Amino acid sequence: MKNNSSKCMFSIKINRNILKILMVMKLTTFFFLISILSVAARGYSQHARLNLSLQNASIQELFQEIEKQSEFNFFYKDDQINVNKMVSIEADNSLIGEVLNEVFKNNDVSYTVVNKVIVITPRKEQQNFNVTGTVTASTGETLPGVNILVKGTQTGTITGMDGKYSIEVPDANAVLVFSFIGYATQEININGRSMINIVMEQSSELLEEVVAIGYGTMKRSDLAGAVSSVKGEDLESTPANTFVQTMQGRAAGVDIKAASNAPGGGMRIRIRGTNSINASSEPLYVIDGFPIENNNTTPQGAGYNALSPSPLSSLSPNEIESIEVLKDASATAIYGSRGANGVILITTKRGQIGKSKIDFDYSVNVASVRNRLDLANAEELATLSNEWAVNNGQTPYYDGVNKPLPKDLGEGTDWQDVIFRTALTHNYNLSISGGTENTKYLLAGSYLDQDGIIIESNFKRAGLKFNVDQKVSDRIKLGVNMNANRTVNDAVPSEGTGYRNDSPLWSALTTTPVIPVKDEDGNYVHNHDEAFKIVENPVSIAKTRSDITYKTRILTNAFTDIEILNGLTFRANFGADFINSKRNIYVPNTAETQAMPNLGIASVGAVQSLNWLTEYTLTYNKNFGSDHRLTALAGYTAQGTKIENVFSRTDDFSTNKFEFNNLGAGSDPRPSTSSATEYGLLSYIGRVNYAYKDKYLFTGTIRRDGASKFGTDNKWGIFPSAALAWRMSEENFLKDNYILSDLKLRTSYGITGNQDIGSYSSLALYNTAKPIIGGSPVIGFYPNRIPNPDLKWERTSQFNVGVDAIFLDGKFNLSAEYYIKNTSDLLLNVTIPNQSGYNSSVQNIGEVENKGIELTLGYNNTFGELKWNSNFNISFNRNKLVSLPEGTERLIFGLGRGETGQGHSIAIPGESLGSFYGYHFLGIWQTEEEITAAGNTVGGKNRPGLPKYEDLNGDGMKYNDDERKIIGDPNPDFIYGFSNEFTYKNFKLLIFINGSYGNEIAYLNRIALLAQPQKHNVLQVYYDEHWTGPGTSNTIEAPLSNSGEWKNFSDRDIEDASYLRVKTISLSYNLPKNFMGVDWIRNAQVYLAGENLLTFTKYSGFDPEVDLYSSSNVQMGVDNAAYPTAKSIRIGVKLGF
Amino acid sequence: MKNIFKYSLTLLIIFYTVSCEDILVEDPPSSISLASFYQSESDALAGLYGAYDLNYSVLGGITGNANNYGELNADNLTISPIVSDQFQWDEFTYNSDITGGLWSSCFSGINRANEVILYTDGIDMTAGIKADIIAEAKALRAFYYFQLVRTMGGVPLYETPTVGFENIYAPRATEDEIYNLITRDLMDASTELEATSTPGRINANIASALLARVYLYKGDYANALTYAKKVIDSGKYNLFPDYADITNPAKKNGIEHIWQLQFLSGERNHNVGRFGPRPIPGPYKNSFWANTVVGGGVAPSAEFVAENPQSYRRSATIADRYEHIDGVSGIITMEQIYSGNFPYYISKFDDREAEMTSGENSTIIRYADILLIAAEAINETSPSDNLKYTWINKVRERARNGVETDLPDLLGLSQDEFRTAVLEERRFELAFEGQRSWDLKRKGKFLQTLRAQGKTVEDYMLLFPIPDAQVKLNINLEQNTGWE
Repeated sequence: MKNNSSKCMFSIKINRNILKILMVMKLTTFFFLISILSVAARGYSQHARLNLSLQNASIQELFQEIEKQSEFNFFYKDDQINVNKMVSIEADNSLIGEVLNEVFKNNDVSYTVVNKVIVITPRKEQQNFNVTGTVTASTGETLPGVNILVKGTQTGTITGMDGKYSIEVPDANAVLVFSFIGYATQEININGRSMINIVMEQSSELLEEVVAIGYGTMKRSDLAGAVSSVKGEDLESTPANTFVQTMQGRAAGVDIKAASNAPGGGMRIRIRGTNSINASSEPLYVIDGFPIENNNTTPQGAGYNALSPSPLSSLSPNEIESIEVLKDASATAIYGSRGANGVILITTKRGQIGKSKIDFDYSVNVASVRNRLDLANAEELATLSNEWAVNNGQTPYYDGVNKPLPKDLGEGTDWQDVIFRTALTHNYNLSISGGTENTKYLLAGSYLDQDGIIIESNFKRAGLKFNVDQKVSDRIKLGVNMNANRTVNDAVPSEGTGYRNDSPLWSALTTTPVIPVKDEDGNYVHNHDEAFKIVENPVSIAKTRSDITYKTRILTNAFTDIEILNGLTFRANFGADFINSKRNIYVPNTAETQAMPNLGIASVGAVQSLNWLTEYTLTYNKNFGSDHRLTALAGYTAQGTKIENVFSRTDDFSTNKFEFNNLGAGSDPRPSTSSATEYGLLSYIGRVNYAYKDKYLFTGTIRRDGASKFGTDNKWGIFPSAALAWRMSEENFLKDNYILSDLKLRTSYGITGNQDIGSYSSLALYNTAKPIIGGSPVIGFYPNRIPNPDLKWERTSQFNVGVDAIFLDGKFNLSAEYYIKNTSDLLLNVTIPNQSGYNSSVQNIGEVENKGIELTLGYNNTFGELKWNSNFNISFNRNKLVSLPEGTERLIFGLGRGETGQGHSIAIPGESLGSFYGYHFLGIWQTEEEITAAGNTVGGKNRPGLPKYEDLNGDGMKYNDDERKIIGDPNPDFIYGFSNEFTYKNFKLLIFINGSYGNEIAYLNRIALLAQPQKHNVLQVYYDEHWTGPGTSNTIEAPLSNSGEWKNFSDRDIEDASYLRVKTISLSYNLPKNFMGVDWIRNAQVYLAGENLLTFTKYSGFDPEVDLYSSSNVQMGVDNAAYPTAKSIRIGVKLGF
Repeated sequence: MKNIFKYSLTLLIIFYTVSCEDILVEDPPSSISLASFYQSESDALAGLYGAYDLNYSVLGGITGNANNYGELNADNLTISPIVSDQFQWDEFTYNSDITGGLWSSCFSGINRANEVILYTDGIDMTAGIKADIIAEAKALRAFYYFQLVRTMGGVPLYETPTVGFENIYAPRATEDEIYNLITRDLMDASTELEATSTPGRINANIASALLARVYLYKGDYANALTYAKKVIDSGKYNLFPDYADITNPAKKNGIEHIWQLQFLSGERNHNVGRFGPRPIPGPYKNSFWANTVVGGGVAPSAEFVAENPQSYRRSATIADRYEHIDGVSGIITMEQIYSGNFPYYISKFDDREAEMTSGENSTIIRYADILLIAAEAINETSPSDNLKYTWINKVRERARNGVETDLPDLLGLSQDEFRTAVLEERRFELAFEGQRSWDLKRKGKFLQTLRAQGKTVEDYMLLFPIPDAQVKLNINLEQNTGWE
């Protein structure tokens, strides 16, 4: 093909000044399309065979012949190449390279093969020294686009698609400088060699690291704010099913706890403590520049209390390139009214310049429950039941007549055995990526199939991800991100204890071991035989009921960058996050609910959510002389969300055939419901980064947010911040210091906001009432609150001071931060005088303070072939509620039931949010004399054998509100993470430890499991150590109480939940290149990882990492039959092609 | 550099002009806000129904507030051991948060009624209907204020709805100010409204009946008589021939019921249980009686049992035995269940068909009450008028149910003897209907009667406390004497 023939489809006019390599780059625009369609084409030039037999043909004829036979095309310029020259060639099944080498053997022409394009250029006359070679990464992959410069000259080149380069140097002793973003720059003395292959090491230099900062990126060395980064490769080395789990312990100041360990279960994430009481304290998540909403999009379900899966569980951890955690006001103020709780920026993987790569990854995980509770067996429970009956003046139940004697019952059923299982998780990831200077793409698919450790619980996720970056012209770039996934959560009810609460876990703890799982006919045995029908057969709950939630999420955005002038770039970004979910529930009429027969319950619910984004920014980048560097950003963004819900339920089905698929077939339809919510945000943003001599750094940020959620008089807020940093190591007195490689001091101050409350909180809305008038319900409307046109964001001011230091050329690094954060104008549901007609109103009152210290230490070293990399971080946060509205002394949260009706967690000024509030347990009343001596009358709660609590108000123990005090704190003194990575030859060993110290748990399970053996099962320790008469026990009461299942919440139910956990041990092995004897495998790795294998804790429940009410800011550290943590072993393989 | 600014400025101006501030305006798709409500007649009616709804929490069905305040707090009832959380009402050991529920329910009702009164006025609708809706809302406001004022004395006075935070800290008004509003509102309703209404809604006669009750409580016998007579003379009401029918679900909204709180069977009034049926306690659960429900919770006091004269009425009010619900032969006595401590239970509200899901209405005011108000009032205003015997004897005649020896007709009593007789008549005729405590209080017999029962009642307990939480929230609220 001739380039001057304009009819040719590949015709390109070549400017004589363009380097051949650039020409190649342009062509790749087209190759991109081809290579996506046919991945196999990638290696075409290495595989295509030619058969030629030409005698005295012109070169042009030869080219035509080759083009005819093969998919190759030739590029050359008429005025440079004499295509009429005659050649002869015989080729029999030869590679293109063999043919061309033969043809051009004695010619003044050289050629380059790029996929299927062969570019012919004249060989230069100059007799310079020529150096060629291949540049590869340490993983063995070739690196295209690496800059190669002859030191001290302007002469340079870059590596081609195959990582090969060829450069002419003036003399054999020149020095070549190899540089590439993200890799350490190398200077190589040629020393007369004509072939130099280089292995580029990834830059361990923290300073060169580029970090995302929101609406842009920045070199870490230029940062003046507090930003922690977690790299995707670190996440990969601690494999887990959701990315939030993998982040645990990775970044200082980020406290992550599993709320539920059910597959897909939620997490509690706090950055630098809890700021709010009623609004959310969760950070803002931004995925590839798209601030997502973390709303609960799980539809309503009839009579079910399974926790909804975390919205973040829809993202596969394998797709993540890096995570940045923005912590101080300087970093988060760019997110304005959503920045106060910190921001987590998630950057997903994108295609890189280079040959197309295929990566496949599969792992299987085998999980089992980490710990079990020691419960009474059938004989023991029956003995206790009899004891209870006798203590309450009744005849023993297990009397040998109506029921067997205890001794004849034996062990009975171990319900924990029946509901826990060894669960398998399969995880598949496949990605194809590649790119050229002009086009980069990535296509990835993932599939997760996770069984929970409780029978019948399962979570599946399938994802498809696609992104492409296209350079349209020198000044215009386009990009598209598309992330689609579907999750299927087949849940079992798993949370919450309490009277008649149907969950397999709670029922496994409380259902009597006296009954078997099934009767002789194979039907489930229900707990009817006991004195009170309380708890349902847990296997029946798990097996017969269904609760399935399907969720489809498409997160997509498209952007364009236009460089208007040199240094001034305009970006427009449009996106949408669409979530559609449906939940189906069926309880068959053969099952029981709350140990009572039911006639069948079916419900369907659906939620649809759309979150859209429009964003325009201008970025200006300019260096003024060598001393001043300036980056400025200005922009406008608008974002809106609409969520719609529908729910329908019907009861009473004569057949179980339809399940939830035919609500019309039930005879008791309930009113269907629907609702919709909308909210929006308009913002103007601005940021200036200025560096003087790389020594003095300044960042100033401002965002002006208008939020629909606020009152009409306060729609707009301004959130400014400023930060200063001083790179002391750039000063002359430290500059050429051997020990200290880098030292930076920084400080920042700023104001951010929190607007995460429900929509319409400032308006008076009308609720529906249905009084009965004239014999039937009529619809009445009544106002639910006083409108508050002044309602606005919570305001958080934060001061931060930090130091970053690198020692011994990166062997050690250290970061330390101190912060003090004050949140005022809390969006609080304030109790107001009821004479207004309303009980409460959302107002901006109250103040919370968080302050703390964060330390991160890193160590990197190489001992021969052993590389050792350690990272330790520890965070100390102190949380304090400073004030509540006038007239409100405290807010108490928690289950309202029986005598603990006033809850267990408290917000009271001067204490940490969520402090535990209850009675102080003193022991067991031993004698009646002791009771009267303490000023009580004998009877009711004050009887020998029952618990004795401290009398705080001096009126005897009446157990009213005055007798309660602060009895514990769920906030840890400190949390830490410690990763150790050892690489030796092809082996890599990772040991990751994390932990928490000084936090306590309200172990609510225990309250019920130490009471009422006539109703349900109890802990073994109850049987072993209960009171049977004066002096027999001072810790556990007699089986006597009948005053409801919920007893007084006291410090007896608080346990130290400090733990140290070897969270991950993983060993991976990279198979040697030639292991399989094939060269088309880029890399192959097998790995074995153990998760939660070792946990050191004093906590006696299932696991110290539990936080059931993760959406509450005040109920923390509560274990109430939460789905327990698993320990697991994972085996995986990674293959790259 | 100049170009940079030029471009930036142009773009920023474009951003500004394209910005769609609309998205900051909230218009909830699935809720109504004040801005879009009170536009039509049906809105006004829906607002009115919203105000009616508070009746349920203010009165709370058969066992709710009405009976805590009106009965548990007096001499006719005592607590049985099954329900332990109500002792405070019976034993006067409650603290100053006891009135929290009544306070917030009544004030919610008042605020909703105030909204209807204010905003209905601005709606373009048929004048007569508009006036009726406003009058009905006023009657509701009066009803809620009456609950508050007789319980706690003067409370903050609101005649307009709460729209901002300015007026939520109002201090207490005087009792007289509150009563003035109550009587003014009820008079408006009694003149404006029709004589009859859909069951559950207030009409002119209900307003008059409530006025009679209010005036009686204030000791304004002339006015009490006037309004009681209005009801009597309306000719719309009469006594049921059978006393038992006053709580018979099949006779809801009958000839004797002036105003009832409405319930649907199986839906709302399922807390009948505290008077009526509840699961049998004690050791019977494995016996023939295992699935039986029987009265529990509260029981008639020993005095009530001893002093209530034998009559058909008495036998329809309390019982010492329970016949098995299935009709299977078998009777269980209270003696057996409670070992003699509670020989009787309150059988008046039994709904044998529906038991715990009874749809029985709760009577707020009925004709027998009006007859007794009229009799009492006329005895005070013109003691020689024999109409008082006509009215009281009508009640007694129905109560004796043809047994001539029981509850004979009264005649020839002195004014004072009649006072005693009518109070006793009210005690047994209206037993457990939430009137007793108020009758004792208005006659000044509360303290002595309860002390005679051995209860420790302080003088200041004639008034309930203002809820403590409210006193803390509103510095302008003064606590009642004795409760500080």
